[in-house]
Amino acid sequence: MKKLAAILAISMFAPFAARADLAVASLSTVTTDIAKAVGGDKVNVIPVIKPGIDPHDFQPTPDDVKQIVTADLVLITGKHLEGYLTKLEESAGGAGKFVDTGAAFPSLKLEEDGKLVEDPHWWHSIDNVKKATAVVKERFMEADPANKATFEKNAAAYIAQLKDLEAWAKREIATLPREKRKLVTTHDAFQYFARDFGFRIYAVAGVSTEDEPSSRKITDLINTIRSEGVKAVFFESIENPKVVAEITKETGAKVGGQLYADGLGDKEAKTYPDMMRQNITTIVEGLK
Amino acid sequence: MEGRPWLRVLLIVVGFTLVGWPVWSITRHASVPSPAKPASEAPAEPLRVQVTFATPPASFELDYLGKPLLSGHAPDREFSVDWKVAIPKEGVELFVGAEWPPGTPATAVRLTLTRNGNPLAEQTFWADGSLAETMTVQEAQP
Repeated sequence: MKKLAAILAISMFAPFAARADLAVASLSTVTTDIAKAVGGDKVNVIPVIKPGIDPHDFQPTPDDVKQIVTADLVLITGKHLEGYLTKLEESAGGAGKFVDTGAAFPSLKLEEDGKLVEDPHWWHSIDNVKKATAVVKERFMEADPANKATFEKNAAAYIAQLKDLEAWAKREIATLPREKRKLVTTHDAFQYFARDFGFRIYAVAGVSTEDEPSSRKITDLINTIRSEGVKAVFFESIENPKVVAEITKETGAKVGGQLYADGLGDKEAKTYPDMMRQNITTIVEGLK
Repeated sequence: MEGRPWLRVLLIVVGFTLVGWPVWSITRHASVPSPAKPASEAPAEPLRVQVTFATPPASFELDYLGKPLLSGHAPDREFSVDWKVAIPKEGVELFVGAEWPPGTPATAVRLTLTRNGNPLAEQTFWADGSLAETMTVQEAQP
């Protein structure tokens, strides 16, 4: 009888025990890394967008929507990257549990076809990621006050990692002469990086990977690469490198390597600090 | 049409021009201005670099393009070096790294560059235990 009571008690409380962790859906590989670092074993992070998925043309599947609806919090990068957000908020019954990590700092504005557009690729600024980490920590503490101390300790450790990364990045990039800091990429995703580290960006396509460059734009870019003496052209992990190969053939610039523009990768860029180190090493070695 | 071969030739020429022009305009080796003047072509000028610490560091280094220009440690608070460099229009960047003993409160570091005794650039950095910062030196734009 005692045994039966114990089984009943366990089965009654088991669902609550399973829900003790905060369930956090993440719509970016970068916010997934932040959430895992801050949440530790107190948060169940659901990576809706996984490495290798292009966030510019991502559309959630019914299964994704189900995961988002049942999550306690949903992390987004904001700045209009998630074009499907309004519909998702309607499905989830409101915007309350959506955490806009990109709202913590101002956007860079870029001119495209005569219009000013917000640049959503804020994670290429390490300082922005520090601010986004603080936002995630605050929302985790609000949602699960019992684990406040853990979130505070984990966030402090992650921010310390980001400070080390920033120091390493400054030292590494300082080895590249400023007149060589000209970065040609497949789409315009590195403006925050350029602002922080003194680069000029020449992109084949616009802010979104969905933008198709005109033949006029490619011609202008080829001329710029020649006149500016740009040494290398970089392709992106989730983009077709053919256009870069064509440009290098025309200009004599070399292929500088692969950059992670829209999020983390599977191999050497599994975490945010790893991704930044990989990108910076590739850029500095390619342009030296 | 069969009786007008010149018309066929004309149509072929027009067709080739319409298709070929965009291809040529993309792939041609356009005449472009000569590449940007490399830094080495700008004249190198003698500068004096001075680093002043509010609190003497356990160690510090000042690098240019990954090579040490100046280094030192406590008890000194001021360090200086003569440096000859060409400054391109994009500027040159100095890296300053420093460490203080654990428990040192927030402190300030000042970097000053002079040319012929006249100030060229100066910047103050705040540090909390360690410092890793860069300073860009550019000629004043006319």
